[in-house]
Amino acid sequence: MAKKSSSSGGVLPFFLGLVVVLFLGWWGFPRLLFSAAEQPVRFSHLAHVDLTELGLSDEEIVKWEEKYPQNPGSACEDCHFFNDDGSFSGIPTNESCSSCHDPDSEPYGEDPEEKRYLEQYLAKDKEVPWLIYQYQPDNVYFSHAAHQDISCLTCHPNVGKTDTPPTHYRNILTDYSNGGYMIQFGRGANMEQAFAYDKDEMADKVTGEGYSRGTMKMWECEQCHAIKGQSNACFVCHR
Amino acid sequence: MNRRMFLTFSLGVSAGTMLTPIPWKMTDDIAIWTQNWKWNAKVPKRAVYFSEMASKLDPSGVGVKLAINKGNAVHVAGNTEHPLGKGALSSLAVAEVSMLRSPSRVREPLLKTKHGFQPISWEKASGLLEEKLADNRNHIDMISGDDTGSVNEIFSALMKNLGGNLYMMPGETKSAVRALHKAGQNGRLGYDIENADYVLFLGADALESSGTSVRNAKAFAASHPTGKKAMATYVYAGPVQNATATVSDTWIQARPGAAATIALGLAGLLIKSGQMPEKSGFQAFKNIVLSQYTPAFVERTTGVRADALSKLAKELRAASRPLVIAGAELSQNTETSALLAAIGLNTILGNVNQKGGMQVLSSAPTVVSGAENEALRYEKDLIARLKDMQTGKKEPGVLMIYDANPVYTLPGQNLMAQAMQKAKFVVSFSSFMDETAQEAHLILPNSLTAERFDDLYTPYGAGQVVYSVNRPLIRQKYKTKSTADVLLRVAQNIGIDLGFSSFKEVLKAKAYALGADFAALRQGKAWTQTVIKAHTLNLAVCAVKSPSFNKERGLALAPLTRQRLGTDKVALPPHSRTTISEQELSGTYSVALMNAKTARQKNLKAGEIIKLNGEGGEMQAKVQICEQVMTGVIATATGLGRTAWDNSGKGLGDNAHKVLAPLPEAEAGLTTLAHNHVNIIRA
Repeated sequence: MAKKSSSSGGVLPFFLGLVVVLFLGWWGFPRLLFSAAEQPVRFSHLAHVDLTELGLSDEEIVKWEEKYPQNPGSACEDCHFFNDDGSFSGIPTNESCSSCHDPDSEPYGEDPEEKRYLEQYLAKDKEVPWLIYQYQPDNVYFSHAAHQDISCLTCHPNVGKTDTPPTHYRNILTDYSNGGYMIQFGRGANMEQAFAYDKDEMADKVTGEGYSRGTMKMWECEQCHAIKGQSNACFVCHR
Repeated sequence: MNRRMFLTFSLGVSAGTMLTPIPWKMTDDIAIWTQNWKWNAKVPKRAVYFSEMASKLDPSGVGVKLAINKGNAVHVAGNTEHPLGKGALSSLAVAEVSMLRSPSRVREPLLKTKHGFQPISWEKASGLLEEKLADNRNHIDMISGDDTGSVNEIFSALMKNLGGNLYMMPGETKSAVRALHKAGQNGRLGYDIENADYVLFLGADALESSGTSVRNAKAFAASHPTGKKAMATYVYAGPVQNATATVSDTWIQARPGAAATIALGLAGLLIKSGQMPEKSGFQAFKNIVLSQYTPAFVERTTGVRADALSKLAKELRAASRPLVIAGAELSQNTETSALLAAIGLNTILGNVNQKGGMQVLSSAPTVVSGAENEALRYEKDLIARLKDMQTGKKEPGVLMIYDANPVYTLPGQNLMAQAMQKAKFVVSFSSFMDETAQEAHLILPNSLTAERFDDLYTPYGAGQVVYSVNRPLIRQKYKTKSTADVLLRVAQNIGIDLGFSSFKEVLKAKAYALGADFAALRQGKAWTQTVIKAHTLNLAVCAVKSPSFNKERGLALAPLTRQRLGTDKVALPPHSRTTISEQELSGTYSVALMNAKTARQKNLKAGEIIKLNGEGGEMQAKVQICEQVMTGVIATATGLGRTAWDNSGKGLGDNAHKVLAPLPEAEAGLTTLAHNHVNIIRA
């Protein structure tokens, strides 16, 4: 009679099922839920922005200057600015790009992506369908102007230091964006820093790990509002 | 695997599932998914972007910011950084957006057939134009109404190569260029109104329609702060209390066309009081004004009392930075003689090229080879040429019209229409189905300002040299093309090399010639030049008799310009329809404003329908008593009486331009449009 237990394998099938599903749930499920895509144009921030403002080492600055000698040394605000009506310009359109780039002229650099952008988009007056890392649904209104004293990197990934933009992950059920295959509950990265410092103080301390790795969920907004002493009334965000 | 092992495995799977995000994430996401069905309308994600450009519909060249969403213009806002607008807008600048979708826009090339206008492809239309131009060499005329664009150089060079002539439309720019040329300078006339402490407007409705009116209005606002003491004195002399007179510190009643006479009368008083600059031709000028333009004479001919003239002279003398701006109630009627007299008076006041004074600004450099310079382009008299056409003295083969609506605007009933009938082939480049376009044989619609490359160089009255470049900011609404590019291609196809393959290249060359940064210009930034060269003006030619001087003293018509009612180039913009006042339109009748004394003298009553009969033609209007008009003058709004365009402006009132008649100005070699004496006929 006692041999029956040994023939059933004891707790081994339990742990086997547990491990298999944990693996599938944490590794396989995100890969099913999120589709990954690269930006339609490999836009290099390092070819455009003022390298001395990025906190790079001297060696890194020399390296990127050699790769992109035509770097115009732009400030973030040159392309990501507030419109006259207070709305935020977000990702630049051809309108902004064409203030420097001219499809009828030679590209500034040797990066084939610049040439491709000029030929396939700017020359045809076609906007680049950029993928939005912090997509927000229609039922909320987010004002950048009201949040401009908080570091951009509190919510956004530090794309300023990228030569290739990060991969964009999209939830195939909700269309929400995500910062990777990772499914994250609870507090986001750098949250303590985000709440503790204002924009200027944050400048030296941010690591570039976005607090919100994709579409911000309501609890994230509410928590920050509560900590900052701001209203959490429905109408503050929902319209 | 036996049953027990399977159950144990399933238990492990179930327990493990609870430790994965699957159930929790799926519950959350399904909740969101069911609230965001694909077929639900979405709010556009792209923000509204503002791009800078200079308005070409607004004659004062105001700089604006165009709000663009997904390639569509959705709104227009003021541009505080542009020197010609300083953040303010005019009704015509707003029309840069509202007229984009106007039903009156010509949406594709149209060829007139016996069944009316029929659409034709651009290829065929250009081919037809090439054929007509090649067949009619030496018999081609072109009319341009663009006073600020380099496009005129392309027209001029093309006409030269084809043995034709380019005629600029009459108006204050033309009169100003001619006046300066007569006085010995090639350039543009401007006024540093912001820095003047005493401004005298002689007829010029400078805060509404004359010169850089939007900028002038901003200067007025800055000098007359609400609730505080005014920092400058503004005086208006004219027959009607128009927009400028209403806000000015003083309104002096003066008959229409009196600007030259008043200016010369004032110059005489100032010279008498000892202001005698050592300028070229001063003695001849002095002799004429002292002998002919006495205060009594000025009072008799203009209605300005001698004591009022003396007071004006005293105030001008006392001011630190006085400025005199001459013109006419209707800016296109501005006489060259009035501007010459104002040059003379400003020179006597010692304010030419001084802070707060009259400015002699450089002309734009010519970059298209073969094009005439600006002074030569403005030399030819369009009215004289049209009369030749009308009488059959000189019949044109091909007549091309750009950025002008002469059938509606030019005085003398049917002068333009009859001239057009004599031409073998008439081509209109109008963006709209206006009164002139509908008489043409072929319409090659020009794109609107926000859809094309264009430029704007120092409109008449600007305080400094200003240059702006516009680029296509929005998607083409219809199958329209930039006329400059169309004609460059046409020239190339008939074997004429103008040295440029696109208008953009012309603009680049213009920027280079000026020493301006084309990249900054492309972004909508205006380039300015404040360097003032010492100019020598010949005073001897400045005391010229006004063409309306010898005319009989009858009832005079003072046409009123209200830019919101449209101009010579644009009919009533749709957004302005509700702004038409009872002093402009009564039912479907234009309003003839006159004071009670005039009405009594002519035995007229309010509400009576009359016909105003002038040398040019007649118009119908309803009498309204209004004490804002001087005795002996009838005022009526222009911009009405449209016979083309769309329903928002058609059939409202009558066209006051019909009543006016051309008057030759022998000294200037031009014909002005100032003959405005009318008789009243009871309808």
